[in-house]
Amino acid sequence: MSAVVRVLDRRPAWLRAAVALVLLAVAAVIPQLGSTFYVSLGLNFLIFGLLAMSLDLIGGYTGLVSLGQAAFLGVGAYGIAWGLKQGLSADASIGLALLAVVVTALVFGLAAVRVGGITFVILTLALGQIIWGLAYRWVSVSGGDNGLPISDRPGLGPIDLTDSAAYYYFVLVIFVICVLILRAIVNSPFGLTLRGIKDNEPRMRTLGYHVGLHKYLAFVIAAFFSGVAGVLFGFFNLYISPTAIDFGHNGTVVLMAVLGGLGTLWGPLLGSLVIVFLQQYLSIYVQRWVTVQGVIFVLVVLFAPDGLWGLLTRMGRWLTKRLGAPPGVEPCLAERSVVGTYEDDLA
Amino acid sequence: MLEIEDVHTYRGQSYVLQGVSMRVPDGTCTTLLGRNGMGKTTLIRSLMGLSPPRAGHIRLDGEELTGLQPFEIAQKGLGLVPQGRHVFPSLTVEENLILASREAARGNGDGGAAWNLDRVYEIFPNLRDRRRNRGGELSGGEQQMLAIGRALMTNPRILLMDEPSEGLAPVIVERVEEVIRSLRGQHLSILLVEQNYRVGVSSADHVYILSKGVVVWDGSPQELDAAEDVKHTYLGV
Repeated sequence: MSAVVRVLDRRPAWLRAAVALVLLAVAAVIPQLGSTFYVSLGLNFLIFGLLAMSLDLIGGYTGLVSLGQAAFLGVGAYGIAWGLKQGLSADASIGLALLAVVVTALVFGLAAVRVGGITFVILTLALGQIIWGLAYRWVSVSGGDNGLPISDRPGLGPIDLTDSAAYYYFVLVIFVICVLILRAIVNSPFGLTLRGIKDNEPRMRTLGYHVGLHKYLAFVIAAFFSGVAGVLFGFFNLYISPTAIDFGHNGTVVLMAVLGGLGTLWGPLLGSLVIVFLQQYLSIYVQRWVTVQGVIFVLVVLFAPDGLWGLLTRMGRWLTKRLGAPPGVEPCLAERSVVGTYEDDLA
Repeated sequence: MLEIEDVHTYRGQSYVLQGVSMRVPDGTCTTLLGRNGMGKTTLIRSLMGLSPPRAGHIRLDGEELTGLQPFEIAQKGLGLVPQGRHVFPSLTVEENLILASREAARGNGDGGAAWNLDRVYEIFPNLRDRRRNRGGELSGGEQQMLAIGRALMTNPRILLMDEPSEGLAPVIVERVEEVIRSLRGQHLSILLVEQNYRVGVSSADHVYILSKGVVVWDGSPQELDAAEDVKHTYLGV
C-alpha cells in the first residue's frame, strides 16, 4: 500500500506517460465499438476539447477570457467550405482557411489585447459577433442562413477518410499533435511569461517585458489552434452554418474551460468531455439536459471554483494524506502547509 | 549615473512632483527620505515610466529615459523592488526569479559577476529552501527577499528600492539593511526610497529629502544626523 501511495504522491513521469497511454488506448478503441454514435461523440469531444484548450492558452494562462473563440473555429470551417466551393484543392482550402484564421486573429488582436478584464470579454464577444454577422448576412460568400456544404473529406495519401472511423483516427492524431504543442508552449519560457502577465501585468512591464506583444502572440496562437479545430469540425460535419458560431456556442467554449478549470490545459479538456457528453448523450434521455448542465455548472463554480480538474487534484491530495504518506517520504510540496506568516519572520 | 532634472509629474489632477532634481552617482547608495504622501513613490513611478513626467529629464549615463515605455526603461537597466513587494503569487520562487532573469544591459552596475539563480540563492539561502513554493505562500520577509532577488536577476545598472522595510518585522528590517549594505559594498548603484529614517540613512552615501513634491534638503548622512531642525521639520524624528 505504502509503495502505491508513494508513487501516487510523487506522480513520476512514467506514471503520467502510462495514464496518457491508457487514455489514448481508450480513445483508440472507441471506433471498434461498432457504433457510429460513439465515433461522433468522440469526434465532438476531440474537436471541442482542442477548442477549449486553445481558449485556455489565452484565458487560463494569460488571464484574458475570450468570448469569441468559436468565431475562429467558424473562420476555419468557412475557410475550407469557401475554398472548396471555389474549386480549390482540399490542401489549398485548408491552407487558405488557416491563413484566414491567422489574419483575422492578427487584426482582431490589435484591438483586443489593448484592453483587459471585462472589457476584453466584451470586446471579444463583439468581435465574435462580427464573424457570426458576416456568416449570417454575407450571403454571396457564406451562404447566409443556409450555410455552406463541404463537398467531401480529402484522402490522406492512400488512406480514405470518408469513413467516419478513419476520420476519427485522423482527428485523434492531429489532436494529440496539437495537445503536445500546446503543452510545450505552456511549459516554455513563453508560457511562464504569460502566467506572469496573468499574475501581475505592471510588474512584468517593469521587469522589461513587452506585455502587449506577448498577449498579442498568445491571442494569435490560441486562434490558430481554434482554427485547426474549425477545419476538423468542418470536415467532420461536411457542413457549416452560422448556428455553429452563434453567441451560445462561444459561451459553451468558455463554459467548458471554466467547468474543467482554467489555466491547467487538462481542465478544459475534461470540461469539454463533460459538456459534450451532456449535450450528445444525456440529451437523448433527459429532455431538460440544459437544466442539468446549468445545475452542474453552478455547483462546480460554488464548490470548486478551480474547476473539476482542481477538484480532482485536491481529492487526490486528500486521499494520499488520508492513506498516509509512508514515513521517510517527503510529502509532495503542494500538500505541505507552507504559508509563511509574519510570525515566521519573527522566529 | 542616473540624473533626474526638474521632473514634474501629475497623478490624475494632482500636481505631485513639482520640479525634482537628483543624482544617483555610480556605485553609491542614494537615499530619498520623506513622509507619506510627499511624492516618493510617484518619483519611482516616473523613473520607471509608469507615471511619465509632464516635464523634465531623466537620464541614465546621459541617455534620455523620459518618453520610453516601462519595459524599455527596464531593459536600459533600471531594476525595481516595488513597494508592497508584488511577487508573482501563483508562480514558484524559482519561476519568479527565472522570469526576471536578463542579461546586463550595459555591464553590471557593480562590475562584478552577473546575477543568476546561484548568486541570488547565496545571499538569500531561505529562497533556495523555498524555491518550489509559490510566491503567495511566502512570509512578508521572504517576499521582500524574493522581490530584491528578482530585481537583481535583471542585472540592473541602478537598483530602485521603494520602501523595502515597509510592513516587516524588525528582525527582517535588519536583514534588509544588511543586504543593502552588502550590495552597496559590491558597488551596485542604488536609489533607496524610505520612510524609515534608520534604514534610509544607515547605508546611504548621500541623502535627499522630499517634501510636497520638491527636494527640500540634501547632504551626507552625517550632516543630516546633525541637522536636528531638518529631521524634525521634514521627517518628524
